[in-house]
Amino acid sequence: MTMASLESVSEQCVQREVSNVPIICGLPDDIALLCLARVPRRYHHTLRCVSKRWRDLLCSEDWHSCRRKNNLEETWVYVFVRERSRKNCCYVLDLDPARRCWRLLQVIQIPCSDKRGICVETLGKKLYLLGGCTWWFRATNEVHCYDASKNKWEKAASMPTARCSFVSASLSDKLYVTNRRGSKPESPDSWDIYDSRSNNWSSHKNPMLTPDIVNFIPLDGKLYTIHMTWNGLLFAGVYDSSSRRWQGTKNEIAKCSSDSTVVVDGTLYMLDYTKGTRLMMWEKESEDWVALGRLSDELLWSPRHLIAFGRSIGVIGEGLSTVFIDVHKAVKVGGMLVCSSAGPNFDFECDFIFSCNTITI
Amino acid sequence: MMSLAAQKEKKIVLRSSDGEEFEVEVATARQSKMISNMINDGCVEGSIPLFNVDARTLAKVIEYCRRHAGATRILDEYDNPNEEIKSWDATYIDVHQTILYDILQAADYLEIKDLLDLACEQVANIIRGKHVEEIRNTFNIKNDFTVEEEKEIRKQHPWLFE
Repeated sequence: MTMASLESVSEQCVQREVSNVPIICGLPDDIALLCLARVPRRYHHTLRCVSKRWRDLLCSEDWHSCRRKNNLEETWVYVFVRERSRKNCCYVLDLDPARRCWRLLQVIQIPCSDKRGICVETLGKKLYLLGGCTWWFRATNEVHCYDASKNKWEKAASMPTARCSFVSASLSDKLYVTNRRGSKPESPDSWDIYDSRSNNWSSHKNPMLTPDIVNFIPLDGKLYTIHMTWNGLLFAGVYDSSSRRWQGTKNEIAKCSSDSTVVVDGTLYMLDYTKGTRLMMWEKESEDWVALGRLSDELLWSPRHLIAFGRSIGVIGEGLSTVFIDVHKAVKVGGMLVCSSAGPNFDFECDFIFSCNTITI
Repeated sequence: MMSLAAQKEKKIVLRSSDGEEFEVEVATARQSKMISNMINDGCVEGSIPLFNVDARTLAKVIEYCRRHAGATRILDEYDNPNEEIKSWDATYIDVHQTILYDILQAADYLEIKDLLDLACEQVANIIRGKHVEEIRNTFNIKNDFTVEEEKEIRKQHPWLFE
């Protein structure tokens, strides 16, 4: 038996011991869970500090499903910024619905704070920080994982290949990474796939003909790949992860070659900058983009990040100025975009935002 | 099928675990989904024994059901209960912790969803804003972290509003 499996056995024993303790003395556990699940997310860290039983409860599936079933879930935004001091850090924000502003809950120091070209992906309640390189341009294969339900950094298996400024996507328990078009020629154009359940990476041969990928779009359980040819033409393909096959698809979807895409309720949206700033929706039946409406250019300055926020899309611009678009209303009304906006209620100064992610608990 | 008026007048007898009987109106009893199902199934002849609820708790629960059956759900424009019943609820649930626990279990057993929600929210309110040590004292929870573990867990990325 290896050291690691011995440790996990003893951990299981401890857990069994801990789970015999009632959550609240005098109450059945299912009722105690119902009560505790109602405590707002900003107090969860206090709950974690009470006892081992409570700490374990807060990262359990019971906890998450109880919050989900009773409509108690809250979405927080994790904004990764490069500060003026050239250090990366993560701002954790929640929306104050009454004042329509972002409240700063936490500033998380991140392990790879001096690197650039990092990719950030979300899987479940975890954030993954992948690769990146230091100022003397040496790329790393390191992966750092922040578990929001534990408020803790964990080790994750390193990528098979060191990468910087690459393409990444998360799709049903897995992370996909490959080199972006125009990456340095010495790095291989393999696809590395991470399985979060086994904490293992596997390296695969590039399933396509050419190393010209510019974006990954996870949609309907499949991974769409967006490519750009040497003369700037866009085309698209689709990768089926179960058969590991890649094939060409209709090229219209390739218009979303920029990073400003988001999936809300299974529908893909993007910002299009060709005629002002427009919000576009991908229509599966016609396999084409439909313009939902125009955003004011004065409101937002590029670069912009899209987040799914409940039934809305949040467009986060410079200085955290954010426009929320209720997509269900936007589809019904047409032409005009039903928006509300929010900004930070604190001094926000940074060089640039390199990633915006949400985790709902 | 009974006429509506007759159904209104009809009373139901609930018997607590310690043998005390409570006569309640049908509308009051129907606040409990469990009893409501029993009424629908026609099995309410004589008194309904409630083995899990004692007299003190049952009296308290009936007080809630009576108020809410009488209020005939006056809702405001946003479908929320009106202010009057909200403030009545707040006073009603402001009870000692042991009574609160009894209400929770009775509401769960009798399937009175609004009361269960109200009581759960009250427990959450007790916790909200309290420090770790205060929570442990309130719920009589033993700190089973070692000094090192506690230091470790507290220093992880502190929250700004603490």
